[in-house]
Amino acid sequence: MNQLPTGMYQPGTSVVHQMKANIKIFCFLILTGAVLMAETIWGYAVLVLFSGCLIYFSKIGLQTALSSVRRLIWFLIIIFVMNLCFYGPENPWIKIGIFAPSYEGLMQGVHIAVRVILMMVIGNVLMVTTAPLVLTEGMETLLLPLKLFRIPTEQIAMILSVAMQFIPTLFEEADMIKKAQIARGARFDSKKLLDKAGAVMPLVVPIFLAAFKRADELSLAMEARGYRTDMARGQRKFGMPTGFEWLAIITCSILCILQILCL
Amino acid sequence: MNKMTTVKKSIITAVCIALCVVLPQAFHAIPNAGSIYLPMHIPVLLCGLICGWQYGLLCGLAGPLFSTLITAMPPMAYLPPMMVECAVYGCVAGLMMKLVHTGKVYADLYISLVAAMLAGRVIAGIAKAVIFMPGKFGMAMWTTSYFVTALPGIVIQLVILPTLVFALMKARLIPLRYSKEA
Amino acid sequence: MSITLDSVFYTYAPGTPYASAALKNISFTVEKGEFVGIMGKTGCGKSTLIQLIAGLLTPDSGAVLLDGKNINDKNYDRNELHRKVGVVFQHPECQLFETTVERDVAFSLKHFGWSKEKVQSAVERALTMMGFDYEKVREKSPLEFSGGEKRRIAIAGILAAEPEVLILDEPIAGLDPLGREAFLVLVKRLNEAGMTILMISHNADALAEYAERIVILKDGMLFRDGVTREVFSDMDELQKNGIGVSEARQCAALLAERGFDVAKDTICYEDLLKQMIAIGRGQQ
Repeated sequence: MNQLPTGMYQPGTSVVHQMKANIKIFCFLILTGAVLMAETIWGYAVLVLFSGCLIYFSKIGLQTALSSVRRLIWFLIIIFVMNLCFYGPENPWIKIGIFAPSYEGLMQGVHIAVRVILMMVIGNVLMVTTAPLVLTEGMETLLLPLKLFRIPTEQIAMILSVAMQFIPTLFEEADMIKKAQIARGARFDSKKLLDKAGAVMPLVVPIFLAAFKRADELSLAMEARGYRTDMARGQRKFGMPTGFEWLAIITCSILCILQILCL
Repeated sequence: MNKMTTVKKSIITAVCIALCVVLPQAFHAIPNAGSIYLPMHIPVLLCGLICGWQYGLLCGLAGPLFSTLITAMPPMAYLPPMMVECAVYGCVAGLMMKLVHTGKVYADLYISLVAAMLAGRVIAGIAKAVIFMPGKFGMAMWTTSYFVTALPGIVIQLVILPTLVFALMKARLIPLRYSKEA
Repeated sequence: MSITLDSVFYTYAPGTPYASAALKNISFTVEKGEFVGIMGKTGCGKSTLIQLIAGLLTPDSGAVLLDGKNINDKNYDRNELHRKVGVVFQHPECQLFETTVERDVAFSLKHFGWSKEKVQSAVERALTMMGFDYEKVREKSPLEFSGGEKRRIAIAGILAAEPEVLILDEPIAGLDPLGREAFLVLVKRLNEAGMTILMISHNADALAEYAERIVILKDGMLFRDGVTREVFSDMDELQKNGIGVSEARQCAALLAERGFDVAKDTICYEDLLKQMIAIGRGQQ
């Protein structure tokens, strides 16, 4: 772990990149709903077509869009084969021991595989076109309605942004601690269960101590400056959606409603 | 040190959320660490135990989410059931620490931990069976994925979490639960 | 134990847009028993260098040799490496985790196959060396101590393994002046007993007083390597490159500017004092 994984974000200037983060997340949620609601071949066909357009408009390339799918390809194949062989044993094509591939199984396998791939592609487009920090800020504005239920959204927003800022520091610290313990002869490759627990102690205990020390220092500093959790906080103003953003929201909503009603 | 202020609880929660991202990465070199050690559960449970149920709940929701956003692990498709599981861990751990007062820190910690780890698995199992994978997630699958393969992780968490709480008390980074102990 | 770096290259995050060369073509040899100071601006590759020597990073090309053997060879015994090379990182107090001081100091000895008595005596020796009363502290939690004491416990944990090479990364930063002096004297004593010392420090005064040799890195390349006296005598060139020299050397330079006869290789207080006394006598 030499370097903090920078996530999937790739800077760009496409129309999808330029959309506001909160709108993108909102559209993502609607699309997720649409994927979960899809039942028929036509339903999936529309979604696949839409995802294709999404990849085209975001200019991220098919490779990037499918990157995490490739990592899970074996998982997908196993799920597919399991469904193919075990799902509908009533009228199988052929029966070999417990394996009974059937038409229903084939369809069920395709169904699940396509659903997972669609979710991942849509999620990838969101994550590749939006920087993590902006993404959290987008989430914060979407949290605002929760205020009606007396949920302290400002406090949550503060916690989330502090967490985001802590990640690189803690990452470096964890790396240093790990190296220091290896230099002291720590080993993480023991076979026995209790030894395994013992082996992670030298890593986990110091990482938590260091992290909590930072938390202690920061909270003292914040209190010393008179910070209270109920105070309003400067927030990124996202403003009203632009014409294109309205179009995106409406398209996604129509897609979702179509899936529920007709397809 | 007296009781923790809201600011301090908030920042500790923030740090625990950050650790949900960092810890799995630190375990990277260890083969199969993700599924064996379940490193993301540790900060969530700890946050619940120390700060209370609201904070544990937030940590359980935001921790896996941030991890997916930043490291693409767990993959998007696994995220929702993972968030449900972790949210219950953090929430129940906090509630139990509020309800259980045996007079011994170790006893309180173990009761709360076991309750949280059971509740999280039961509710995540139900959620999977009803919402995320309707009809395809049965009793056998639940037992294997949440208890058999997770056994090493469960043992490790039961060893590590009380140790962590005591280490943090010793280092005077969190207040003592009972003034007599430690 | 001699340490040799043979045209070592190291790049951070290779193959990504964030790749940056941390070390370029570094070659030098440190003989057994030397006390080498390593200097350079932040981000010049000092920390990378010591991590390569400790086997915590692997060079892209080139070799790191201990006693002529490549430490990154497949059949090189890693345990042997960790036993012979002790590393004190910045903020070593962060690595404490055990329930008692004794167990923490003994942590690195676990894999050596030593007898219980030998482990205990090594722990006692290391704690005494770091200024603790063994019987008083052994059963306490290492986390209960103050920051400075924690650091000494952590260093005891590294010295207990009796390494042949001790690598220190900014060990005196954040210590009070007395603690600093005491620690440097201890390191010097270990060095005189035969331990090879490599010490990264921004503190030019400390290195001028204690290190025999100085290695300076600049932008990942070897900028200077030589006897401390000679390296520091070239003060103007060093300062142009953002590297400070000892106060005694600066003082000597000021005196020389005003026409006094002070040698260019005056780098420590003792030398400076002698020469100032001589000048004073001459003027009387």
